Amino acid sequence: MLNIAIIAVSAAVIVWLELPRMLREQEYREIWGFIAFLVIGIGISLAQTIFNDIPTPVSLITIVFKPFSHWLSMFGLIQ
Amino acid sequence: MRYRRRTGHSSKNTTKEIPPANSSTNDTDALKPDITSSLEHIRTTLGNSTDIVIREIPLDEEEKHYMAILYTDGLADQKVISESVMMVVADITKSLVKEDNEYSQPFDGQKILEKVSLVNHEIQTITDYKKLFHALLSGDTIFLIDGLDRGIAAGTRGWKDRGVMETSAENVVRGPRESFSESLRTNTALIRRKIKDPNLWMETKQIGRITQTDVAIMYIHGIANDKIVEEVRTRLDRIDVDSILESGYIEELIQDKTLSPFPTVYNTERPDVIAAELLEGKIAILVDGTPFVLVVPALFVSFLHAAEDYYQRADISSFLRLLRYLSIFISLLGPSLYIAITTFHQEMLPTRLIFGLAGQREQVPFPAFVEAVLMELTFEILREAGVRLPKNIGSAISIVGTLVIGQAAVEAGIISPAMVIVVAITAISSFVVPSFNMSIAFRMLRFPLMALAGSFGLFGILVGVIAIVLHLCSLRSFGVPYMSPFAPLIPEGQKDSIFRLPHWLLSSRPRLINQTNYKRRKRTPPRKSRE
Amino acid sequence: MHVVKISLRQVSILTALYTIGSAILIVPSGMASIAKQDAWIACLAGSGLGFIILAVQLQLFRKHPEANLMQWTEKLFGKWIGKTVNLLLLLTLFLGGPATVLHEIGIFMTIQMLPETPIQAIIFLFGALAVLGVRLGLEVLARAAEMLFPWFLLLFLSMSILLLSEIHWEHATPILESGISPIFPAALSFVSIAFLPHIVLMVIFPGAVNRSAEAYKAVYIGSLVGAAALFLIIGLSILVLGPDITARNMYPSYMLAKKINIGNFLQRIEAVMAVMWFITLFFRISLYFYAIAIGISQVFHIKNYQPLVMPLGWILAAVSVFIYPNVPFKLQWDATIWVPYTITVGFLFPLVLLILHGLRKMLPKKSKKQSDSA
Repeated sequence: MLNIAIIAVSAAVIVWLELPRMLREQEYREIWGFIAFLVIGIGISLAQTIFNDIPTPVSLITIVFKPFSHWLSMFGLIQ
Repeated sequence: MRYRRRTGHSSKNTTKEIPPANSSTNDTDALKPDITSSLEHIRTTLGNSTDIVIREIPLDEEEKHYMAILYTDGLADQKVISESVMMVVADITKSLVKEDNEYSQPFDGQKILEKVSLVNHEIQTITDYKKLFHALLSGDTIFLIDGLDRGIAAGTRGWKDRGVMETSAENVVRGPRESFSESLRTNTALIRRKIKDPNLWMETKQIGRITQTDVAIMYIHGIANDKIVEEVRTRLDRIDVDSILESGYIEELIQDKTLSPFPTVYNTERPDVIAAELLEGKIAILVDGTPFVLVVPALFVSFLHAAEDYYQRADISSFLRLLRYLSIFISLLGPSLYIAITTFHQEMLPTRLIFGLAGQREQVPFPAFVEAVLMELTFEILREAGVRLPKNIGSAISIVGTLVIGQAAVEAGIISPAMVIVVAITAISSFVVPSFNMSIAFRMLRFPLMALAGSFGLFGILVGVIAIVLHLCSLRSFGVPYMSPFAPLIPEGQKDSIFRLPHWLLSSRPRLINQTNYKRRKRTPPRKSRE
Repeated sequence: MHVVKISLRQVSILTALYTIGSAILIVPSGMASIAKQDAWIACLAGSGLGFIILAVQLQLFRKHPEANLMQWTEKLFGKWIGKTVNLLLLLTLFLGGPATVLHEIGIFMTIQMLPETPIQAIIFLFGALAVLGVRLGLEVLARAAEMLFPWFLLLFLSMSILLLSEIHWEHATPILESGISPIFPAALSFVSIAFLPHIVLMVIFPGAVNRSAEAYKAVYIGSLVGAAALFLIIGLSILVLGPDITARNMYPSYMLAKKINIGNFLQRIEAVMAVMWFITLFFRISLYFYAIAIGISQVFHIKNYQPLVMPLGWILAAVSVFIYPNVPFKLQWDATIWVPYTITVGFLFPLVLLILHGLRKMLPKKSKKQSDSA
């Protein structure tokens, strides 16, 4: 519960710091990008607090590069 | 709080027309030839103030036409008035009146004005009320003649002034001891005495709707960067306040808009410092009514330079400057390092010291961070109180501070003796910085650093220091990066920042401030004397 | 948007700090476990290889110094494919770059210096610092680098000098005991941290340097300084600690700092030495992060990257906490997956771009010939 409160407060602070200036300068693309990434960030933090056990995104990279890695270990890499 | 209506300077044009407090101070009505109505208008505007003297002198026999002389008692110099002004008036009356007290000729207003102009100095023609009031209230004497729609203001300013005295806050061991005084004219004269170059130019404005304070800009044309001069002018013109009582008001209103504890405008009381800065291409802003003159643009290194550095020999000055930089580090990091090391990194201390410190810390009920904050706050309170105390209580307070609070608190077991030492050294080092507003900045920053040290140890201190470095590097003073010549690194600038190389090596002016004229002199190293 | 211009000297310093980055902390261990006491030879070999890689990476920019990597991708692959490639690049770089380095710092601090502090606090604090740096902009980062670099040098050189008394030359013998074969994997591991990620600098520097035609020289100089510093650290680790301890310890440089002992008075000052790694780590994270922020804003045609910094920073801090579930995973990943990834991104990718660029230059001539003859 405390974690969710911290997330909410931090999000509010970040919005308060950046949004007024963006609205003043009418940087609309920036506002969209800002909101999009903020939502992603909040999502990840919430997922962490609720689920406590998220698989690391690095595993995606692992899957892609495993064959290359295997090939290299035949010559140069060491496991 | 005193009611103050300020419009300040805003980046957007949200000017609603707020009528000024007294609409006729900005009265641009022209003077009318009818002197009775003019005097009536003047009297009502001034509310018949008793220190404004209005003398009416008849110019013809029926006493229907007058000449009026107006001055402010206290602001106008009585001696000058009785010598020049009254003598002229006597002379004029004599020329109008024949021996038998009859007015022989009709008066010629124009001729009278010319006669007056001859005898007095600093003559200004007055055609509207705004100029009239400004001149009258600055101490000039106004001549008005019936039938003419203009008058004359003669320069008769002279009031009781503090005079040129010793500096109170910026003492030197070697060097001139003059300081500026509260009168603008005295101050500009002091600067002109140091720099007798015709390129030393001066511009005056009146800023402040009600106070109409005289503000002057001085710079050396050809050395100062014209763009910066223009920027200064623009920023001063943008100021729209009721009052300017001290240069601090102007400083806040023209400085670069960043939220920062670090000052970006330098101020000093000493004419020799101002002269040196002008010669480097900076611009001085003088404000009537205060001896503190502003210098713009101001870089970080300016606040750490003392005037004396240039009067003593190079090696002494370099050593003292290094000492000053060291003191900044101590004043900024002292308590934080103590907290970090005693809480997180005890292994760094020699073993015997650890035993001693551990023994002391045993008795103290608070963690090191709380102890440090308490002591620091107490010291700041003592220091602030010491500034305002009358001289006879001052020594009593310092005794209270040191003995009672320091000693007794240690004996009561509230703080450890090591903490007292740390706080004392930190406090003293913070006074080594010559400029008060810079040392305050470091003092304030000590507290967040202590908090970081208490929670994250040396790592926290480093995070704080990097954050401060980032902040400093992002500051600009009138467009010039604040941390030059350190970053961006300018090799010639290094000759005069941390060390001070001998004068015959300091051959160029700071490059980012004035881009064109930066060779000061040819290098003439001292010659070896013949045996 | 305010145009950023940094000087060549600042480019060199930033590159040097970036090269040293996290390598100073983790590289000696990995290399010593592969090549044992010949790790220093592997370092030299790796540096040589690294300069060749740098040459490939810099080649495109020597020709047109104003266009950065993102723009080249879009130009050579076409707009939509280029954007997708860029996004993939940025996403993977984000995960493999700042997130992993931030996690490294967290682990290093929790293991060695502040064992009772939760790793989230450290990650959040350092992440906030990186956000501040990137938000303020490249000029500020460059000036801060100029100011902090002398301190790094001071700490580094004093550490090296103070350790000279502890050197045991026999630790480096026998030279080439296992032959040449372990040198290659060790060199590859070195290069994967110290040179291949310089592709990230190709996103930042083009267009931002005031004498861009000579910027590539500044990058070479910076990398040289960085490689020299790393060589010194690897050499010292082997000579002072010995190959076994170096290989077994996760942070041999920290162990090195612990060994400094002057007259039984100045000892155990490793915390002070850690300061220099924080400086390099800070710049590594900041430059990575800055590149990603700039890259994302270019892909989406957002003119001002600054508002994006805080949300991206949030994501960074959040992801860094769980990016490596545990330390063995991290070691394994660093050794097996990071190397092929960086080879792809840092060597093959610029190579492909170069080939495409060459083809493009030849094609207009071909079609011109055809239209002439038609």
